[in-house]
Amino acid sequence: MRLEATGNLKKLISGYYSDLKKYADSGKPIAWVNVGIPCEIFYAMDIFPFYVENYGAMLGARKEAVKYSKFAETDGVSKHTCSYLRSTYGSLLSKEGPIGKLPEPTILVETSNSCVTVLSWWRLIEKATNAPCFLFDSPMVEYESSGNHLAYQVSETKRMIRFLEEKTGKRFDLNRLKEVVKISNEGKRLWRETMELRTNHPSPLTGADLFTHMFPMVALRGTEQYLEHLRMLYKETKERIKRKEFPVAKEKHRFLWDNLPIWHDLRLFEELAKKGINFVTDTYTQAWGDKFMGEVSLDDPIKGLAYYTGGGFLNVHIKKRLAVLLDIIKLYDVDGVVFHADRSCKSYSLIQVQLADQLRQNGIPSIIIEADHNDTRDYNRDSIIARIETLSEMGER
Amino acid sequence: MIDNCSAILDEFRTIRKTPETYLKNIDKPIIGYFETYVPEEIIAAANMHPLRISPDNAPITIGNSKIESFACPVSINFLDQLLSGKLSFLQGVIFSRYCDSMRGVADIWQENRGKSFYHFIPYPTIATSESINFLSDELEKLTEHISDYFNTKISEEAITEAIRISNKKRLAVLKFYDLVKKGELLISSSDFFAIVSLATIMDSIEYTEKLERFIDQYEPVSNQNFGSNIKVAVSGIMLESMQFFETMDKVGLRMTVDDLMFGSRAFKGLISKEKAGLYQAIAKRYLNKVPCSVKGNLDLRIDELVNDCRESGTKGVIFYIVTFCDSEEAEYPILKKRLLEKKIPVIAIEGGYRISSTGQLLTRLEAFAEQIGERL
Repeated sequence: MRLEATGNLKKLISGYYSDLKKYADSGKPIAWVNVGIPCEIFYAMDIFPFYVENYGAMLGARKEAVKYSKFAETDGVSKHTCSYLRSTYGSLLSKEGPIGKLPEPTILVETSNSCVTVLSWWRLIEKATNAPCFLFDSPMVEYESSGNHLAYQVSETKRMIRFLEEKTGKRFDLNRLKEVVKISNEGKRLWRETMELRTNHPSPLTGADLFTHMFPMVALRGTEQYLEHLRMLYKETKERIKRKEFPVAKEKHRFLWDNLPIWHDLRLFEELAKKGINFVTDTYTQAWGDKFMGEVSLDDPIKGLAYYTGGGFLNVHIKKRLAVLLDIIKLYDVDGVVFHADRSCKSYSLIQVQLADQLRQNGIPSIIIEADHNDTRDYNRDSIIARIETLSEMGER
Repeated sequence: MIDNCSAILDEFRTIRKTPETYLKNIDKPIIGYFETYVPEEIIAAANMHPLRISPDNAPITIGNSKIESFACPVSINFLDQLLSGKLSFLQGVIFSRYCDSMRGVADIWQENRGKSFYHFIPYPTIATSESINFLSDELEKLTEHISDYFNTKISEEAITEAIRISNKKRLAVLKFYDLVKKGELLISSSDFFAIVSLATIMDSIEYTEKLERFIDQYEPVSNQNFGSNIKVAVSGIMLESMQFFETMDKVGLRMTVDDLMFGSRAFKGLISKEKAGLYQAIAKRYLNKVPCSVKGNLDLRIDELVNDCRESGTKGVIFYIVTFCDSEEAEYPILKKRLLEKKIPVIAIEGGYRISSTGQLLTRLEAFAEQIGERL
């Protein structure tokens, strides 16, 4: 069952890449950033934030990741390295891709709040483009950023703003940031409320739906088109409940997906839906929910954005990861957890055996499947489906 | 070498072969750490022995079932040593944010350690005045945690003394490196590795005294046989396999420079006095040291390597990549381009925490030796 909003999403994505080219053609500044970087500051300063991971996900979804990874592998980057890194860096080297040659960055901005692989990734891009690079340093936290950590994240945010001003000539205006943050907050509220509609039995959305529609949450927060899209998505999801139109009318199983999706096989969710298995929630889209990216106070938006950068989903330790899992398992009435051990995301994946053990101790059936979010080589769909079916054999609703 | 010098070298070789026997005689509580960003000075100031944990060359027993197989094999080995009880002689362990595999190990151990001492330092990746302030606060928290947990007082005087001892050790190791680099001290790759690797295993005072005596009493013997004696550098993060260095000896490759985490990168840079205090001084040194590829400012690492190669007349670089180490795997093309620009040949060898096929290694190193040997 296709969401009407998906048509708008396509326009949104094509508009984003068309804007990227417009910025390049008119000589306006473009920053290549990673997902931990708060885009609100960039939109407030009229600097285009090109989210390289999003581009990687697009290559994955179009099954073009391996084609471009091979350029990186020929350059000497090992096949074992993150497939986002390989595919996007390979696309840069090849001067080809779904939107043609990628526009050159004016600046590069990265943060360590998701993984240290990002540092290597941006270093390769830096060497290939010669663009000045800024590293927003974000040491890990137990639960959330506070005390000296929050003070450090605030100082990093201000240091980043100084870098942006210096390298692009654009001036930072706090009032403009407040306007952008206000829109961003409103969209986050709609995102949270849309996610919460999935608590309905049956859920109005499949696992694939929110993975598909997370693009504006990542790359467009604070823009009008982002808000418009989230309103549309929320309204349509709510109406599905009202009209009792559900993608998996008889949910035999309400599962949770942990980690990035397998971008090259989002149809996996459809296949499982046919068997009555619906993924009613996941931890990845929650990373843009209120647990990790909630409302930012308009009184001090820099501090608010710094707080969420420092306490990002992959910048916290296992105790918070477990607490969030237990919380959403209860909220969404989940009866089984599928941990996607993603070869290309070690910081997400390497504690999953421990988490699965702890969930089982709490009476929650869990299994681990292994794949790669972008690289189609060594992908074994049948084995994954068989393992998820084994989990479903633990009891129907 | 005169007799006394040979005796010291034999002693180093014996300790390297069976470090567990040496550690049994340490009469202080032992705190373990896994990477080079944890400041040993703070552990030593608590009158404890800071022990750098090495991969133990044994097969994995339990580690594989607790972490995904695409974690780096060194981290799986560390987890295995922790979970199997091999490290139960430690009073506790200290982690820092190093790489994506080791953060997994830290989290898993946090959930399985029982009541043993555990501390995770949230570490910056860059060196700025703000990051130095942040790390300085975090090191003070580490000190408080050790004090509270072990009910011991760590005075400023004790930290000052620990800094003095570690600096003295660093100076001795750097002098050793310098002599090897200049060709004034001829030593095989395996002995070079044995001596340097013990600096973070043995008691610092005892080690420094032995190394200083070894250097003082060393007299080169002209007829020492190092085979074809081709000078090379070894670069990477973690390479702890004696077999690897013995294979280098066999094919006549003599390590005169290293760029390894617990090689030169652990010793370059001393802690200087800072008006802002001891923690600031420690933080400044650790954040400004030659970085591993999991941190920022990596051009410094390559600059140092190129410079060391030039000064020592090194003919080639062996870059050892631990499988599944994203940081080193991505750094390799950058390092390779830079070395080739300087006309320094480089070979990448990928492997685990121990050498699974010595035959294959021998063949590759022989081929490399032949290739660069012709350039002599």
